[in-house]
Amino acid sequence: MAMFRYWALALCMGTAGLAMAQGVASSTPAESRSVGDWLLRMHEASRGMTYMGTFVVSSASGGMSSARIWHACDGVQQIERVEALTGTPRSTFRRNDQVITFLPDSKIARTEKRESLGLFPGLLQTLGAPIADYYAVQKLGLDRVAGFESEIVQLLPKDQLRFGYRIWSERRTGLVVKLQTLSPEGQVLEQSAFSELQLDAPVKMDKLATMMAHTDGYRVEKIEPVKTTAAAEGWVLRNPVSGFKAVTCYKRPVAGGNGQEGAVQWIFSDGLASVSLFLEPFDRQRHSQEVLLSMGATQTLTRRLPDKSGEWWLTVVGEVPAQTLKAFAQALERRK
Amino acid sequence: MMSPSIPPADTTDSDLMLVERTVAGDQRAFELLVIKYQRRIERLIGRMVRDVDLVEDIAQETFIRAYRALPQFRGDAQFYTWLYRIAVNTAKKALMELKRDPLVSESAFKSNDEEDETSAVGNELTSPETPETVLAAKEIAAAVNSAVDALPEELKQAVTLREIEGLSYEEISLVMNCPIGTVRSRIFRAREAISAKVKPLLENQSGKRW
Amino acid sequence: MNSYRDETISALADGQLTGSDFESALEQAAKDPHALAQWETYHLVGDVMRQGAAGAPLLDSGFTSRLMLRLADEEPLRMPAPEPVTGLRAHEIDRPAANQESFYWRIVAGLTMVGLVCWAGLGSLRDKSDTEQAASQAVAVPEAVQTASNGSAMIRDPRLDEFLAAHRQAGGASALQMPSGFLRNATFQGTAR
Repeated sequence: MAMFRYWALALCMGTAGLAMAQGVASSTPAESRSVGDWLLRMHEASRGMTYMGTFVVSSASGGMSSARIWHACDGVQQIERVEALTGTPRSTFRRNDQVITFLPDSKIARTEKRESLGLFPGLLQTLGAPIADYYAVQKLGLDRVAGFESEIVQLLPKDQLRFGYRIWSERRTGLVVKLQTLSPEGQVLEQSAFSELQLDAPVKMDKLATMMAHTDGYRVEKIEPVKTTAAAEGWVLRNPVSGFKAVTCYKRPVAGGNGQEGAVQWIFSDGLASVSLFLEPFDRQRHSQEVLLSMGATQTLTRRLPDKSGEWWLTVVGEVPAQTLKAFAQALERRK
Repeated sequence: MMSPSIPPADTTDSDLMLVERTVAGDQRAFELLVIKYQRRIERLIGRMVRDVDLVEDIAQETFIRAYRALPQFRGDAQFYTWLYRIAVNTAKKALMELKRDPLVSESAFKSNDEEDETSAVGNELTSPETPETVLAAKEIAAAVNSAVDALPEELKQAVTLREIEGLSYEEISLVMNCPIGTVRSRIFRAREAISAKVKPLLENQSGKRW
Repeated sequence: MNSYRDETISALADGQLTGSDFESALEQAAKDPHALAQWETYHLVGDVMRQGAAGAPLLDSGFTSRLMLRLADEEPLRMPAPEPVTGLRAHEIDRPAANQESFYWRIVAGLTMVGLVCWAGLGSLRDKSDTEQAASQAVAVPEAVQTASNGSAMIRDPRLDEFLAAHRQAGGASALQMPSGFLRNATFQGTAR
């Protein structure tokens, strides 16, 4: 009885408890294909569902952000509404891959088409190596999140280039209800979770659609990055960073552009974590400090490109350890 | 056997939910937290301060400061631990200010040692309690004890596993080999039976200072 | 249905309610004095079971209502303001309203220095006078800023925030995107631009 309680308490207590739990919990790694299947199920789970709840993001360095969520689908399309409870007042709506964010204080509505949403299933194919090659998968058992029984799976990196994850997925549907990003030392860097969740909630799809379309009184800004290729923009990675594949590349205009150049955004992923390389012309006025920054799970590195192409400024952003950002920075090369 | 003085660990999630709700604008959620922890906070302050009016002032101040600081509560420690620190700091600050005031007599406070939770109720000479309040507290404790002892075995076991052992409903359902709904019902019925014996005592005291 | 309502408060006290159940329980506690009394009595019972007489009340029962009256006059709660950069006044970026963000960039390391800088110098919205003033106040920044404990320096930079937003938008390249990744990014959004 005492052992069980210990283990069960460990599930509720996160990192500290988990160290204890690993001694007791079963740890058979799943096969690569079943990992892919399981991740896919998780990714697709929200498609057929209607739910509402409160979502909270908290980071180890302090700070808690929360929002009310409504999600509805009718089998063909899905609509989601995210209403911030903290920070800048804002409402984000998503219908399939169309996203609009209303900022009531400035009366601006930003719209964009995010083709990256829903990329994952295709990504599984293009990755070349299964996720299980880079992450050790372990089932940790059951836990309750927001009142729902959930299965916990832990993905620990097999190298120093990525973070670990603990994923709680609701048992019946596979919906991810809690996600922790873990540092190499096993600390929780960031946690995103539903603190309240109601499945099969009476969320009206047409009502959300109406709210989404209601842009009266707002200045609508359309964000349209131009799809391009890294090669076309003159960039190449001398050596690949293990596990990460190039996914896509954009040229982004500057918001509210005041004569500044846009930046090229080159995106990589290992299936779970993504890294963006932003490249813009070096500007002595603005680019005075090379830094390494951290916000929750997101790490950022800025650097002037050191070789003869020193007229470029690089910003690497990703939910990966600093070492990985540096690996990208070192491998990046100008070829034009 | 030392009983834990802090409620079971898995109410941490529900405390956090109440905190989040309060930060989102619902003060009623905070009221529930206040009711839950006020006795412990009062007792804690009562070990540092003798004057009962001052205990109330400091306790009120503690909760107001906690309320204002809620946005900074990260939920990575237990809410009560966080609240406890606020109470101690508020009491110390109040005592410092009092000590500087020449009109305040020494009897208002005693040497401020930060004592832990599990100290027994202070003796009559150095606590804000009066002989009446000490007696009333003992009567309540006696009523609760006898009510628990009088419970049918399965209700007694359920409520004891919950309140003393700090087990979750899931764990209790495994220990007692019954569905979670039954656990919930047994704990509720146990609480109702105990409350019935305690309520008359509370009603006698309501409006009076303890 | 009195019995059902009471059981709800017991379940609420044990952290068993979530979602709309949690919300209706709060509603009941707000509207039904009996429900609120149950909440109080159950917790009293728990405290006394654990601590004996030391779990009983010390002050009278009006404490809570007096407190809630005072709290009704309080300002609405806001997420905390940013910590100022050590040694320098934090550079305030012009905003349309008093928006407060709860997430900031924490400086892990300043890798190299290019000329004389001060932390407030990042960002494209500064005008010249600020640069001059900032330069005259510049503190010699150590080559390697230590990884912070508490009181780490924070910075704000609109360009970085734009990149962060662009990175999140591209974050669809992940199994974890739906729903938590997307929600994380939408919940955890940076500055209003």
